Amino acid sequence: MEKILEYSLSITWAILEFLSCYIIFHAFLPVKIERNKRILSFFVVALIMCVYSCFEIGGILKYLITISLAIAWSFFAFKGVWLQHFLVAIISYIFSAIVDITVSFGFASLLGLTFNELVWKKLLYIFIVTIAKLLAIFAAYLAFRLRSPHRTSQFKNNFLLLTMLFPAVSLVVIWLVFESTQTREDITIGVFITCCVLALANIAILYIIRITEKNTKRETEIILLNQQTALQAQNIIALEKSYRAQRRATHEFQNQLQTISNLLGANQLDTVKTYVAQLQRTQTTRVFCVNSHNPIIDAILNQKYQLATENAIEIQFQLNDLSSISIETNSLVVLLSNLLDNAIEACQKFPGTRRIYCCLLLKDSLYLSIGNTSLPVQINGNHIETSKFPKEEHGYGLVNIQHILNGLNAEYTFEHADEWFQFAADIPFPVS
Amino acid sequence: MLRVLICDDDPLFTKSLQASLTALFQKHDVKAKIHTYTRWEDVGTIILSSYDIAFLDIDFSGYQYSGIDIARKLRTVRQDSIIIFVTNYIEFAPEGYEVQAFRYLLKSELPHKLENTLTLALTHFNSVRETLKIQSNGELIDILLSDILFIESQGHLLIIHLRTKSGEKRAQQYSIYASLSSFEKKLDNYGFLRIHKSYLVNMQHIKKYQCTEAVLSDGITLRVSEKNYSEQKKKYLLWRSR
Repeated sequence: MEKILEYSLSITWAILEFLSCYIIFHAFLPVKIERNKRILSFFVVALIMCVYSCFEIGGILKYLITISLAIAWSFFAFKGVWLQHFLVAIISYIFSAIVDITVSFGFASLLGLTFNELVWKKLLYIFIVTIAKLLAIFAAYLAFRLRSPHRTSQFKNNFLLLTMLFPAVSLVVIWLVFESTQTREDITIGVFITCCVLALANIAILYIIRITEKNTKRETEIILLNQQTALQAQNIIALEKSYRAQRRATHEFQNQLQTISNLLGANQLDTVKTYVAQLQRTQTTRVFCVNSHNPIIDAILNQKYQLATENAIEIQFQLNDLSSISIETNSLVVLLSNLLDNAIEACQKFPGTRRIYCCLLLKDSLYLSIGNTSLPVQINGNHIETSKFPKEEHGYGLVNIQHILNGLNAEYTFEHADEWFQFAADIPFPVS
Repeated sequence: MLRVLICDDDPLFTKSLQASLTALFQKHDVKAKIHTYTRWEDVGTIILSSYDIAFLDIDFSGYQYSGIDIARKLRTVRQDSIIIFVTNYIEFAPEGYEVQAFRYLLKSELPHKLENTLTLALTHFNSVRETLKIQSNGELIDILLSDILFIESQGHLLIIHLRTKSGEKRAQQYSIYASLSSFEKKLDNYGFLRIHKSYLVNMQHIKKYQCTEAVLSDGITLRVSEKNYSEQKKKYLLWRSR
């Protein structure tokens, strides 16, 4: 009967401990699988933990098995690089270990008992450890609530390694301290104080992680804003060029009208006919190649058309009347400029026939698609690996595009197949 | 036999384009008959309906109409004709989309780009003429894929819904015993999308595709699978620009 009670307690505590780990994982890492699958896998892993809890596995081996299981499950249920999984697994385990030991040894010190004496008072010990496990779950839940909803870390791997050192060392220290209570009984208060200090230090580490994430996010936003500003500047230059060209064309037209008027005044009809025929033959280029009835889109597309043509890239547009789009100018500029710049850049590297096909259609939603000939690209989920160096300073074009499309609640996708890269998006109701 | 129309107010250019196209058709072993016109008035509406590919100038000097007007007339009698604008200056505008222009070619770039454009046009021409062979009520039937709106599964029975053609009061349907999954595999490269376990839809007939429903060109509304919506929507977005 006692054995059954012991096993039941082991199983219950193991599940409670793993539950607090689950909440910590959820606080720090973005989810990979849907909720039902996550809960099911949680119970499977909890069951495995229950099974080995019933065996007499002690010491560091038990910790290692538990952490390894937690990390394996983390890879299955959450996204992130392998170091992030390791870091969060160690944080979650140290979290529950610290709460456990702090509460147990704290109570023991309060009651004037050593830890071993507390263990012998079975009912009291069970009560205290259960409270400790529940407190760990509550504290994990608080951590979950305090974390930002966007649980994506921008850390580089070497920074993660450094961050992991202190929690890992803390874990080892806690284990050593706990093991030493087996041989020495008079250090209960010392263990309690050590655990409190380690808890505070690890909380400080977590706070530093949070600050660093915020700073990284801010840095990225600054880079994105700088890029947007640069694109706007390019757009202004392009608009100014078009404006000058239009002024020149208007000026020429006025001169031509004056000439025709003078010739008609002098009754030189034959000369007028010859002059007009000559004008028609020489009027072979237009200033604007794109006319979507939206001046901002026209300015951007005309600029990119010129740029593509200068680089021997064949570019075709398919568009309908876009006059009633009401997307913010800045967003339009960044979106179209980035997409077309990327397309032009990809075409410049392509050895064969260079083509870009741009589609902008407004009906119930705005459909935007840009396809171009391209060498193979490395696509990782929603991200394309930049081929430029240094990597940290490049690759923000697509980030900017995604940032804007997410803000517009757009659905988008991209793929590369058969030397053709295509980006397509559906932006809902951007109509004035 | 492919029927090709060239309509340009410059007689020298029409002859030159005709010669280039003849050489290209011979090179690609395609049987084609090319007709050239310098005035729209010489091309009757009935004759217009027989052309599979049309090379049209945009500006007709001295005339009240433009290549866009000719293209509009062509579209009223032939939805599947391929229209290629050959012009001295390009203007990508809504009117081009309205008449479903396939390509725009600058006259000055014709020697470099005509062959590639013609190859793409022929590929497109053949793809819209793909058919699906089925046996329904003991009869072997050839259905143009572009006429299929969607295929519905009702247990082991599949119902192939065709679009309503002009002059018809009701759309035609064919029933066969087969699995929708087998048709999904067969038609995967022809622009068909499994939006629901019971529906395989021709993407060219999708007017609206949202997470709750899909609306087709005939006004029919179909349920959409929420589970697969995200993945299927991406396929639709990528397909749509073709």
